[in-house]
Amino acid sequence: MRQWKRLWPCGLCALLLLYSVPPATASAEPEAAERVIFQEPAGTMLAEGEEKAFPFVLPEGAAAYDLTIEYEAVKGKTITPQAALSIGGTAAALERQVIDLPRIWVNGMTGERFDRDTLGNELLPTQVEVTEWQTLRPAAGEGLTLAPGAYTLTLEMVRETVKIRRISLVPVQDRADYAAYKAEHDAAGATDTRGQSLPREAELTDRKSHPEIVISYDRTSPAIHPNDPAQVRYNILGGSGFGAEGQWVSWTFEVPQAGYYLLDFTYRQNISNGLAVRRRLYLDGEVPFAECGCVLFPYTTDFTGMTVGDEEGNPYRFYLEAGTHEIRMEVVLTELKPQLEELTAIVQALNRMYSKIMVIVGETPDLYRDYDLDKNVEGLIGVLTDGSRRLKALGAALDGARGESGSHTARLYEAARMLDTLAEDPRGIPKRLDNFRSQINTLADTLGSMRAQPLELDALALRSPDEAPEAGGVSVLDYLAFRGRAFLHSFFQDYTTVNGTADSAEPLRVWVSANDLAVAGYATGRDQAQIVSQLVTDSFTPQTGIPVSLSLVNASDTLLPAIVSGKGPDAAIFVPKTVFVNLYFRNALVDLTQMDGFGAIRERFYPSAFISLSTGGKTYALPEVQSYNMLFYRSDIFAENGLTPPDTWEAFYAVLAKLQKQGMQIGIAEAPQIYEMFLLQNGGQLYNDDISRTRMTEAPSVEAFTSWTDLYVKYSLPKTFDALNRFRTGQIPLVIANAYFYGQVTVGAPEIADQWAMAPVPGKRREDDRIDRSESCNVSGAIVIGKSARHADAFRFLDWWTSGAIQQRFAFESEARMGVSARYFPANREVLPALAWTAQEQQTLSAQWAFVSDIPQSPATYYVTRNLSNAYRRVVYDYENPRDVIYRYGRMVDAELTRKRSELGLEAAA
Amino acid sequence: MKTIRQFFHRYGDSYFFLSFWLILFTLFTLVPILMAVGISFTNFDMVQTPRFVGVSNYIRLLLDDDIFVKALSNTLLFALITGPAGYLLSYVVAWFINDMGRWTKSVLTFLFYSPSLVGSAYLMWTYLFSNDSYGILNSMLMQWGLITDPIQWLYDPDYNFIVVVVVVLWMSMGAGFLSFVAGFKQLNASYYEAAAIDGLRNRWQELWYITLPQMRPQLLIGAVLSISGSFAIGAQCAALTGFPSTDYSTHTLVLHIQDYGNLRLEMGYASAVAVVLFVIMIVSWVVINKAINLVAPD
Repeated sequence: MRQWKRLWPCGLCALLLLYSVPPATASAEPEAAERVIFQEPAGTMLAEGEEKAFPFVLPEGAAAYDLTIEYEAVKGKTITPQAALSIGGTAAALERQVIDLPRIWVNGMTGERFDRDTLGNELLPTQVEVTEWQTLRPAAGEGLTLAPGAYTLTLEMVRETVKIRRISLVPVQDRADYAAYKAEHDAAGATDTRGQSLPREAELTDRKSHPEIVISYDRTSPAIHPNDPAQVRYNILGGSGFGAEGQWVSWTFEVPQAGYYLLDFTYRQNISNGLAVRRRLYLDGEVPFAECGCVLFPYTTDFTGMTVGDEEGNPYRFYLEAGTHEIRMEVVLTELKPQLEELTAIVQALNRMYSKIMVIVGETPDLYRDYDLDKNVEGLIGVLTDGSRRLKALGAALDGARGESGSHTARLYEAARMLDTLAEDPRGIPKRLDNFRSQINTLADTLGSMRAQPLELDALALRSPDEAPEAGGVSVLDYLAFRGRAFLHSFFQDYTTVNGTADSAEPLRVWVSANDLAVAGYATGRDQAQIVSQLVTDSFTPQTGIPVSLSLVNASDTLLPAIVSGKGPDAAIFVPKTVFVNLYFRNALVDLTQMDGFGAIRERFYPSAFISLSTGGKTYALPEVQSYNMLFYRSDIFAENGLTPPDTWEAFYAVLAKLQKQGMQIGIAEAPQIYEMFLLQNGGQLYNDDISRTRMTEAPSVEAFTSWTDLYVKYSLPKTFDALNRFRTGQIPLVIANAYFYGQVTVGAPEIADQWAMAPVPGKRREDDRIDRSESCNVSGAIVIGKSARHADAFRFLDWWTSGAIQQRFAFESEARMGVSARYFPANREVLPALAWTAQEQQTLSAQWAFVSDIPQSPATYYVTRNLSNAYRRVVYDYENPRDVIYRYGRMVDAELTRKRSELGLEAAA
Repeated sequence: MKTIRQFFHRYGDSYFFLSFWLILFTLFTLVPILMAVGISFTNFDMVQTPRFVGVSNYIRLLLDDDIFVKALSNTLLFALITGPAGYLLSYVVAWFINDMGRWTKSVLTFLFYSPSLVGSAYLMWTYLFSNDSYGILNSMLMQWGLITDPIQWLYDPDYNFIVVVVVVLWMSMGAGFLSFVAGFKQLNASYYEAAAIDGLRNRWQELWYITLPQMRPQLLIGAVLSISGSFAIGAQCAALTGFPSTDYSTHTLVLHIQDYGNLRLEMGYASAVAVVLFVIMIVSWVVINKAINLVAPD
């Protein structure tokens, strides 16, 4: 019973009817000089990883073209399809560029506005995909100047699968400007409409291209509408997620009267400091006149009204027939393109020069030595002076551009000055190396912030020129009254209950634990709890007749005291393993192996997921999240240096040596998981079979501990570092980190989007030449509380919750509403293929997953963690002998384990 | 019957007004302390029913727990360094400020008081003492060529104790400092004039013979706050150096209680540690009271 199916008849069908004629009708009736490269009415399937070449010949004189692609995404995942596009031939016309082929998303809702929960809060709408043919004019293929000759256009699907129906080159025509547009319609007898005002809430989009264009709520001011002092009303569209080139949203308007209309937006742009952001406006799939090709939204600190118009403030009049019209807003960078390309080239040149200098002076240069850099580094002075000159020219060009306020150019001039200093005094370069590096980083940041075009929208409206614009802002009195009510409501509001129930039957009480990202590899909070709540209402309660009340709590702090005082729940989900280990050794949890159907449920997961959830043949939780370390590397840097991601530790050390020679590093944070990885690969175990003693002092463990500490002592890896930042700058092109690092890089470093990849962790080569990549994992579990009187119901809930279908829906909703950073790492084996990974990434993850094992929990787990870290620091900070250190600390852990076991009434160690 | 009525007639109002504080104090201070004492003789683990184990918690605590000894010595070190130093610092700063103009005085008071006003402001020190080679202090030292590898300020047991001491001193201008500032304001100026006529030679004499004796109540409250403050150091250590810190180098009694209470779920043992801490604080209060009597006799 997927929720959107229920909505199908009402909202969606109406929408589909509206759109049964594709909005972009232009390409359907080819213009005279359009060059069709490919056409096939039924469309041809282009699967992920597949590459297709489309040869074509241009016979006549050179001309400028816009590339258009008509495609349809194949329904399925949340991920936006991407293709690498290139045109080669007589001359390399277009270098390989990755372009988005967006899907179409519609908000799933049953009424006029978003659905509400039982407490009256609006819920984030589920995103429903609509598949239909759409026409894309990728920014990369805009205004291509092609000489006559033979060419080949190549499309390689990087992510996902699409169907392609038509590819063509449309000659660039000078679009009529506003004056001509107005004159044409005036001539046809168009007049101003009268008395019409058609407001629209921006968050109620009809369609959008990316799930990342999220809606959010701001209840700080009643000026942002709709608003409520106590309850959640989603009232804002966009933000930093609505700023990447090619993203679009659209709204439809029912226009009652033909004639001229003005277009108002209520927007806020306070993310990109001091700058204007750019948008292209389409009316029924067409840019009506040239000025709409790039509309500027200037910087404002608060929501501001703006009527689309020229620079003098004269509003543009849009001519609309009576009937349904679509307004589409797309993020564009058109005007900035040459500047962006120039800056990218400069940053790359400087980066290369930096690495060349690093090769000679090393990571910590001797300041009192003359390295003769101007002689030893080829072209040093040339690159520096050239860079400075180009930066100054770029600054001058940007100063003249629309919407620039100088905050970018100031940074460019600053960097140029620094380059001048370096060029004048090459002997001082080692001393200024840090400054050089940070200036390059600043330039890269500038590049990123120039590209980002974030915008928040509250409302938009079509209105007759004689109507006054919607009054923005509210009186101070209204504002104070609103804030006062909000403050009063804060005393009565229940922040923990996610899903109340009016049902008379006693609901099953389930707690959703709020966890940090680092706890289990997946962050949980209010949004996730609301998804669970919707799934319960949609599926669990109708199926079983059991009402459920959900609360969001922090299990680490509250679960145990609540159980002690008898106020605990019947079941809890997303419980981190460190929390319930304390419960199950104290008999506070139900042994799930006793429950009906456990055998079948067990098959949903890898046995490794149960290792830390079981003890003594009993299992106390069903796994939900299972995350593990992966290897992340910068493919561009690896390619440049002729490296491949290491498969074995021997290869790893070889790569490390090469990287360090170039002044780069490898990043592995201090974490017991690294020791556990070495231990498992050595064929060792942390505990003996009945978990009464540790094996920390045995050979595999001593060896593992030595390998671990050697990374820092012998190979001098950095002990503390900011992984994301240094991965992004390329100082650390290889990181071994939990798989959630994937989401952090995707969101935090979009500028290196196709320059990094994921690989399994290095392993140990066995006798049969097989590489053993074993490592431990992080899991969260769903548990049934022993004191509850409803074990059977609670277990039914767990069964439902960990089932493939529900976990898949949860994972999908989580990412559709919150973007890639909310990517789920499922323990259920059926779920991974349904997630938004590319086939390649999925394969990589599966390959690693098969090797994942785990370390069982003991009553003294906390003591192992802290003493491993103490032992590590003894060796790494004080250079003590690792063998002695692990012996010493191993014995301490054993003593604690024995004591703890006797305290818990487990028989003492033999 | 009559005497009871008489008693209420006479003292009823006073006891009524006293009762609010008395009830709260009993419920939230006295009862928990007594409960802790009671629990310290059991093996309560939060989930199962507590079992009476006699004084075995105390025996283990005093004879068999190396980390308790470490925590105790750290706590006493903290109390000895940051308690008196912070106390003196507060007093001296308040004394200096007292001679400033009205506005400067207010501004400076606010500036010195603000670190303890803002709850977890000490977290900003993690930037200065960051373990990263790009941390403020590390990058400066590396730039000057004093070190080649970043120092793990917060994790290395050789350094992290000093880091915590610095941070605690920075935060020591708390309520005690305010009471000093207030104390200086209410000094009776005529004493100074009289003393000057009687032949007071310098400001030190003025401080010793006139100022300090007049400020006895403030000195006492400042001392009490400073002691309880320095015995309660723990949150800062955990936030800066991790919990537990490397080899317990900044482990204090409060953290030891947390370790056993929250992590190991041995409430009985944690209560025993708490009782010991309580006793130490009472003893040190008595000692301080005596010391204040020497400096500023009644």
